[in-house]
Amino acid sequence: MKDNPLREGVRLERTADPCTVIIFGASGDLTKRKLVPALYRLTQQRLLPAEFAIVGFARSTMSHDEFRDKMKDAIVTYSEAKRVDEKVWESFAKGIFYIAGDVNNSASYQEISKLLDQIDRERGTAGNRVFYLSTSPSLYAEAVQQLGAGGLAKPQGNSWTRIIIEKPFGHDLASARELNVEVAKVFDEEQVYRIDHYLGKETVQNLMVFRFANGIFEPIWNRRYVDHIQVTNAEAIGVEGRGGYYDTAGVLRDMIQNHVFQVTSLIAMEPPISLSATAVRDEKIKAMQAVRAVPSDHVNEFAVRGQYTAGAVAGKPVPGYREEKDVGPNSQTDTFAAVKLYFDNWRWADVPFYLRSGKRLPKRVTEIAIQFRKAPLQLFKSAEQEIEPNVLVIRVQPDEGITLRIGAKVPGQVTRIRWVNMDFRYGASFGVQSPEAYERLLLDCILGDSTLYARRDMTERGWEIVMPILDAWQNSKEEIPKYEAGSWGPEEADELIERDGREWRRP
Amino acid sequence: MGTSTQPPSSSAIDVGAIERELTSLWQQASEGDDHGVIRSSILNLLVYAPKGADADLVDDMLAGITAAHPCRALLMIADPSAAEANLDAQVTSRCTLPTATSKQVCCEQVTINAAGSAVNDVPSAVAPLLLSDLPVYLWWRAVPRIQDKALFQKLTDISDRVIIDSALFNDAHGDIAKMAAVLNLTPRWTAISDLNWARLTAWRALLAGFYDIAEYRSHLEQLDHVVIEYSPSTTEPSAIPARALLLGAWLASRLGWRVKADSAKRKDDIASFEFSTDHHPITLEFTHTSRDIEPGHIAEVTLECANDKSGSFTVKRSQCGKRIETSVKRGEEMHTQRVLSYEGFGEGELIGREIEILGHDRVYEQAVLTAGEMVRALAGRP
Repeated sequence: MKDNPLREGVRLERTADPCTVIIFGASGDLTKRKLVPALYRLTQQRLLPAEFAIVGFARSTMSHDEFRDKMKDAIVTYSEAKRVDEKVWESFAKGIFYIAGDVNNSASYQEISKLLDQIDRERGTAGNRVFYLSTSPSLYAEAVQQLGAGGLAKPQGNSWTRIIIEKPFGHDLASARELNVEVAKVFDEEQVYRIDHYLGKETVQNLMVFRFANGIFEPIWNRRYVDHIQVTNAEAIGVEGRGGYYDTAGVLRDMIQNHVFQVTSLIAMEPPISLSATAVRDEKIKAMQAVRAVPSDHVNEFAVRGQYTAGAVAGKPVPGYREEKDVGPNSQTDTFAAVKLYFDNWRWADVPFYLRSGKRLPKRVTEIAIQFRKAPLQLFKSAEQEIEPNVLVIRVQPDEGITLRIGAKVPGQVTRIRWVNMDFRYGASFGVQSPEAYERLLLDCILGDSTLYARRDMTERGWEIVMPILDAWQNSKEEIPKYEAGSWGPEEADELIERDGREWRRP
Repeated sequence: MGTSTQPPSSSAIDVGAIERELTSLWQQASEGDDHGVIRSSILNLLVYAPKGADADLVDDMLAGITAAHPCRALLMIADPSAAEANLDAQVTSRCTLPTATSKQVCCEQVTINAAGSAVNDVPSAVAPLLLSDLPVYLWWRAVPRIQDKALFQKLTDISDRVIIDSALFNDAHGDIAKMAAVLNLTPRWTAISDLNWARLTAWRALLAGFYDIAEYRSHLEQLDHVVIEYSPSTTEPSAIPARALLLGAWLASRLGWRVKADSAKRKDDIASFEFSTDHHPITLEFTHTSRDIEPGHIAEVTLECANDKSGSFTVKRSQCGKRIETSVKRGEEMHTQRVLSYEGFGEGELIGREIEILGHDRVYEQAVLTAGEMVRALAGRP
């Protein structure tokens, strides 16, 4: 009997294969805030089988039970219900294990291998493994190499082995390529899942549905009708105690090169021929390959950076970046960046894409705004000053949804036009809660669906695009422009867009 | 959530007046509101409830349902036994409170009170009030009068999906047999949702989950004995409750079991059926549970194969009803066992889930047809 006849029909979603998820860096924040709570929720939703286990691997010494207790606390803390049923927890915890060890030490991988074999025997996990690299990025290459040397990378028999690698993937183009080469020595590309949790967000997935399930938008989704596109990824928070890491990265590396580019590729891509991971990712990389190189001698015309100083956000005073913990007093790290890109292809030629991302901006918002060209003829002379372009806004967070701005006549004798928003809000139209991004992404990996993960060529292409900018900033002798925390960025960002006769939206 | 209501209009339904009253409510909702009001509708929800305490309960549930699934709700409260015929309507809007990040969302509700012979005028009263281009769901919160051409069938005809609850059936066997008969005659009948079937989702998912494992899948062909333990209903203690019957019928229809017409037996608290398959006969037993759980609910399901492979697969509800346990036993050895939280969705939540489904649930329809055959076998009818 090839397929399970009891699975047929609506309501019963596909359950994942038996497997073990091995988390490297399990004593870290991500494990307790996101990973284990997501796996717990997936189990309660019956999307993971009984034959499932989690192995935490980190340097800290602790027993299986101590790790289980920590994970229980994490689930209580980070779940909505703020509690777990004891018997339900006991059952889930039986599948949680811990190994203390060192990523650099081959003996640790022998221990991991022994434990995985034991789990396969006792819990029926069938040799299927997901290695999740949640360690410091500097350890990725070593971990991959050791997994290969320890015989853990290649699946046995009918089983499968996959590896999820957290961002950042590399520090620059050279390191990203190097890491990809190291990974490819040990794993086949189809085994590799480079995570970008923005792709797990419901509205980002909705972009595909919006563009390709509706026939009316695609005909106007091009240079004939679109004036420009703005992508804004704004955070109100600062570095939140991660100054030590952030000061080596900056927003161009941390956000624009990955998350923002992933989202932008969904806007710029051609319709795929199918929804297979390969077909979708082929179109995304094709779009990004059309991005015009930023000329290294004119970087300032295409990219600006900024760094926040002390100010106030949401009514609360906040310190400047250089006053944050573990940030150097003369740091030139960008906490804000705005980039103008052109896609040199038939669809988008001469349509500027303005991308911006930053910390300590007035509010947290991620949105894509497609501003259309104004009507070609001003028929409403009395309302001439009131004519504005139509704007389609896709809001990723918070309050996910889509807004279309249109003009409507104000009732009265004189023709006056008022611009109104037609809103579709996920929360207002679908009251059910969207799954957490990590739930979706973890389940997809276990199901073997890599559509929402970044492919090797895409990660390298992202670096290729930003390298001229990073190099120019690295070599610049000029002091980084400043912006007050709580404002929308430095003046230079306004100049970048206003020089083209446009202006930034107020999200 | 805020609610504002206009007083009932005159004894006949004036569709134009209703639409004007709805517009007026929208204007009131948006006055002085800088955020603006979102009118968001994804469906039409027709609700039929007999007059009385149930109608009040349904009205309360609608507040929660429409908050999560913005719609135009048309609540029909019927009192067919009233001496005097009367038809009137009342318009309400329900609005969620705006927050810093989201606007106020309002939904519309028209409550139609129908008494006496005017109950049969309800379909023509609601039809013009339906929002165009949106699906129509009919939540029939009573025993469906399938043969009733004047009301039930007319409302079904204008609906894309009918939601019933076989837990409300007074005659579980008889009513399921009637549904099976209608489905047999009219396969293109409107799509049906049954809340009692929705309550089986966790059971079905966990039973199906056993056989996702390739090693266990071959056991499906080896099964020879299935036991479904249930708590008898208080209104029909001698009948197999609809929920248990549907679960057994689902197994049979999915696995290609054919009920043997003269095999149904009833002895004390056990009803059993013999099925023929391509491999060997299977006995399906329905038996009372000794555990103290709510009437009509399923306590435990065990699928067994007694041959050399000797395994049993069990799903069991905890006494408290908050957990569900699964186990796989091979010989004397317990291979896997786990405990999951068991969602006990309220009726409003179940309705919310049903109105997310479009199209026929063929698996349910096939289960109903098989349940109909089992009921006929039990009654000694071919």
